Amino acid sequence: MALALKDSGLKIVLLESGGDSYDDAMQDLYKGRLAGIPTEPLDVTRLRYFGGTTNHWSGWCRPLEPVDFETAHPWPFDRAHLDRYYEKAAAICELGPARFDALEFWQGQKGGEALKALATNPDKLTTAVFQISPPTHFGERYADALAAAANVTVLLDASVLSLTPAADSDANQRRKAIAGVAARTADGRRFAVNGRVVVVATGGLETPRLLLQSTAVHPAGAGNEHDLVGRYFQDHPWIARSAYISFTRPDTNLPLYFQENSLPGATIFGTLASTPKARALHDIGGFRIWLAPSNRSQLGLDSARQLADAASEGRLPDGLWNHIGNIFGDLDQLADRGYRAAFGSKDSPFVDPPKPDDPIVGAWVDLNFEQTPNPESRVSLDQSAGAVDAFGQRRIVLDWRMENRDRRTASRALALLAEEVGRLGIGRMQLLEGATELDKRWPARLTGSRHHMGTARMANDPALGVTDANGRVHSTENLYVCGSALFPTSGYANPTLTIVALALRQAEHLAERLTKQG
Amino acid sequence: MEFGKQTRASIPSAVALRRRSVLAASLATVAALWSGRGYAVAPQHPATDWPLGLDPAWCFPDRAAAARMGQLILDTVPGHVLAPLPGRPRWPRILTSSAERKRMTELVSRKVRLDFSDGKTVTVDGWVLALTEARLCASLARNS
Ligand SMILES: Cc1cc2nc3c(=O)[nH]c(=O)nc-3n(C[C@H](O)[C@H](O)[C@H](O)COP(=O)(O)OP(=O)(O)OC[C@H]3O[C@@H](n4cnc5c(N)ncnc54)[C@H](O)[C@@H]3O)c2cc1C
Repeated sequence: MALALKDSGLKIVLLESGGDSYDDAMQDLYKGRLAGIPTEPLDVTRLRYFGGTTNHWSGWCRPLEPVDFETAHPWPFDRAHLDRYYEKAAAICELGPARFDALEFWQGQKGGEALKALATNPDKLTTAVFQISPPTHFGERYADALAAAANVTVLLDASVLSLTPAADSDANQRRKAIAGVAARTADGRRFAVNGRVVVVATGGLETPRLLLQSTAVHPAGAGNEHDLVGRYFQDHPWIARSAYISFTRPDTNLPLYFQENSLPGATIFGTLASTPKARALHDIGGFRIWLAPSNRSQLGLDSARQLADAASEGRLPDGLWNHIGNIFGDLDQLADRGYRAAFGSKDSPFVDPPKPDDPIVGAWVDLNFEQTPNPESRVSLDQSAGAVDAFGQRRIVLDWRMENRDRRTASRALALLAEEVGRLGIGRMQLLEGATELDKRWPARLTGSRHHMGTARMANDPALGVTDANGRVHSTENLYVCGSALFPTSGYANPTLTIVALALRQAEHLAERLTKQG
Repeated sequence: MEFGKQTRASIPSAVALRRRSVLAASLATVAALWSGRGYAVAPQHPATDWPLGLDPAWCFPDRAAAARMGQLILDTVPGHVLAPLPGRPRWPRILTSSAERKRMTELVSRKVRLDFSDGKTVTVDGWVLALTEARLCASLARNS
């Protein structure tokens, strides 16, 4: 956002809590307590230094789907409105052109010829292409540009403690204003930075923390007049190895789905994902499935892992997956031979294996899905004794929750995949430990994807969201939030590309608002 | 053990299955064959949509493994889902030509795909199988 405003004539101060590299003491400020569904520790899922969590992100990028903007928790604008920002965001994340699902485009590139999509039933499953960023470490990558921008000052070791109200702002006023922020250095020097507007861009967990800590703006926390700050927390629930597909052809290779495909100017990866029709029909959220190929030589290792998992749950694997090809092979070979005619596909997506001596015999199924926004799923300040950090700030407690609809999303996703795998004659799928009982309990290995979203969500109605369509806190004239805290829904795509697109949109809004005001 | 919703609703309904098959234009010939109409050598079992001449063993290159799967199915899937299981073929003599067998296997392959397409699946020990193939495996286990 700061760089997008570099020619605006506005003076920008960027306050970064950490330094230019990792530091244990600063990282400790991120510790917090987990309640609700277990997930990774809060100081592991983010990084507190210049460049933030992009210092160790994986770089998977994809825009949200149009349908994500039109659910029971609508965004204040539609997906088409974000398209041009996605274009620019793709360049900032060092991706290729934002032509994600235009497979013909990628097939036209050198090395892309073999990237064919499965002819899935579009009512059930679709191919969703992700682009993989190098990954761009935003701090490192854009440090020079920030240093060169005459109107931008970056302050490292500048931890914001709270937002300070403007002198004439009253906590009881409907429309408040803030003066700026109160901050400190690691060695305890305190200072204030004031501005015409303040943008809080501290990530999906630290944003509500900072707002809730700012009780001088409002006793319940800045922007918290309707008790919404920190609520509707969403992550992308992730069940790694939820199922195993045993291929009936011993040499099955689907390169689009099996590997990062490096093409000139872009790296792409195919997944199988929800379709708007399936979402509506089954009343489920979005999902995406990643297939991890398993080679004959890995099978022993995979089986051993499987054995350990199964044994820990009091069950031994039946080993039948070694025989699936023998059991259903003939039936599926017939399906494969008839692939073109049966599925209206010009050619079969199966290509020759890269290593015929080590054939791919199956694929592990990684499921990532969208959870339903739930007000009880929330981030709040931990009021228990001693739950303060080295700066005396209350730590957070994350109470991550899901609903029955989310169980349906997960189990339908796997059912739809199993049906398509069988219909296309690819093989048969076995649901693994825990995935057979999704209607009763979440498997032990369910975790989050380190995507923290929804905690200061946008909505046109102040009773339904903390911020308006521009990310401005409804109740506070000059306070903005930037980041995935703004997302009313989370779709199945990783969030960073959308975070960048929203930041660019906000930069445009701020330039217009502040330069007009003079 | 779980059954898809659609499966439960449609299992006893051979009539519905036949109507559905007829609707699938591209599979019209197959549907006629499957339902016993116009193909004298494969009359249908009166209580099911099972072609009487079909020997399940023809469909599986590894009968022992298929029977093992079938035993798992018999042990865990309620009988009414599978019943009535096809018995031993009544007219093996008529269907022993390899062309006939191939045709019958092709028919099963399409039926299996149609099951998956319609969500008519049976889940046994986590394996998501088409109802037709589950019945074939179970039949193999029972009759072997
Ligand atoms: C292992 C891992 C892999 C990931 N992979 C992907 C992926 O493949 N694709 C994807 O889209 N996303 C991925 N993510 C998520 C991605 O990293 C985040 O979406 C993204 O970094 C969020 O950007 P942000 O700027 O909003 O927050 P952050 O990157 O967390 O940045 C927040 C910044 O605020 C600073 N800060 C915090 N508190 C204060 C304070 N009080 N005062 C001053 N400064 C403060 C922090 O030091 C930090 O620099 C991954 C995350 C992890 C952990």
